[in-house]
Amino acid sequence: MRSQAVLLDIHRLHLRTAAHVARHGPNYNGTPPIDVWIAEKIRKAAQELLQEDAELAASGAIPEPPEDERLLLVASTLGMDPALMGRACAAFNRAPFDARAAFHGLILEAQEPATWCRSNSMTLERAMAALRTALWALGVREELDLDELLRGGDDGP
Amino acid sequence: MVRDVIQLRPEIEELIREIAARPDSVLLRVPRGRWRAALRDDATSVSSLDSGFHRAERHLLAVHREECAHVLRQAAWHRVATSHEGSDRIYLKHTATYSVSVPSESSLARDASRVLEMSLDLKADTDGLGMVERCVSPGYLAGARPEALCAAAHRLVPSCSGRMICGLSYLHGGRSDAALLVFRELVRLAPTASAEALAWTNLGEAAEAKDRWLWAWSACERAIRADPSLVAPHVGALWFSVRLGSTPRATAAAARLGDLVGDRADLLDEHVQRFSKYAIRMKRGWNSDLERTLRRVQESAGPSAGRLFNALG
Repeated sequence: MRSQAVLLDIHRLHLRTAAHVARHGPNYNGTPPIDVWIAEKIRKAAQELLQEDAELAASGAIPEPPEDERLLLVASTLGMDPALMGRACAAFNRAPFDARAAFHGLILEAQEPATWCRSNSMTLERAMAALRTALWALGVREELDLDELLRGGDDGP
Repeated sequence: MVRDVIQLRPEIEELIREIAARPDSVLLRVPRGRWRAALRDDATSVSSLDSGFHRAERHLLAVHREECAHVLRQAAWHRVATSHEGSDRIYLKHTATYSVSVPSESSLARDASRVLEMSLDLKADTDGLGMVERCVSPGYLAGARPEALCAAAHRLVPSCSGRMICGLSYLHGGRSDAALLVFRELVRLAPTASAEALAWTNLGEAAEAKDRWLWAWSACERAIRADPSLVAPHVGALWFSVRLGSTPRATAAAARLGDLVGDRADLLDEHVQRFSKYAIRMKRGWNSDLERTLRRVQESAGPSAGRLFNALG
């Protein structure tokens, strides 16, 4: 999750990964090495959960608050109602990678901004802009105004 | 009980307060508890005791449903990507480091067999499982409708990739209004920035099919904003700028494309082929003003844009 810089409930990820391992364990023949095999199951599980969260958020369903202490800690730090964290995470996880990475590096890992910028080849200005995008995704209920984009008369030549 | 919070730097705190000041923000709306660095303690966060049998079982079922849905989506993807129109219009090389593949009929049948061997009781959708069974039969795919396969997959597990394949099937079948609707929804639903960029790119293609060049250009720009590493929207933004008769936009797009492609000329091979094959269709409604725009951009464009324009003949 750190390399992908996403926010996922680790309990769900654990259960989904365990389900993948249970389904495919009997067919595991020793190749690839077990750590690579399990990492692939974790990746697959994470991908499925991200998709499910996006669908759930878009459907308007009321998501369950996360049980993961880490996500609750993020909610607490940002002064957010934990009940909103499910949708907030779904919005955060679709933010650009730079934004997610800045949030992970500068807030969750509390890295020194100058150090983080150096190791990510980014200026401080750009890092703060990325962080702003991440916080915006987590904290602002904004809908895409597609209608505005698609409205208008004949624009052909 | 007061919950711990993460220690924040003053500049980050300021940023949070700025965003929280927006009326539609949900930040800083509940008490934050006391300040203490706690997140960096690497405490055990998963316990086998609290996982709960029922939830584990639900996840097992979810995995199986996804396996079935995946086979159906792959079957639909095979149909779309190997169709006459699809094989010319679908780009497999998305970025410098990521390409998609198209499964063969035999590998699809193998995957379907494997899923059926380990089948659980999917009471909720026997229709979906029946379709997976049919994927094993030789010759079934040739007659299968991609939209039906996507719909069956969708009933098992709603997904962006299923919607994307369905939208492409509509688009290549000349049903651009249906494609537009699917891609519009997809833009809202995409779970990642890359998926969103792909959805915008396809929305641009659907708009192009309706000669809505400004929509198409705008969609490509949104795609680039979501994921700048995707090649197709850069090519789209360049071409649609030309179609809009805008030399400054096209020149800027050509420069960005050149920066992205660099010395990886192979990233444009599929696009060059498409420009060459569909030149007449792409230049429908062409006139002398557009020709002048094209020539002006061609003169100043680098080798990447030059290759594309040369392919137009």
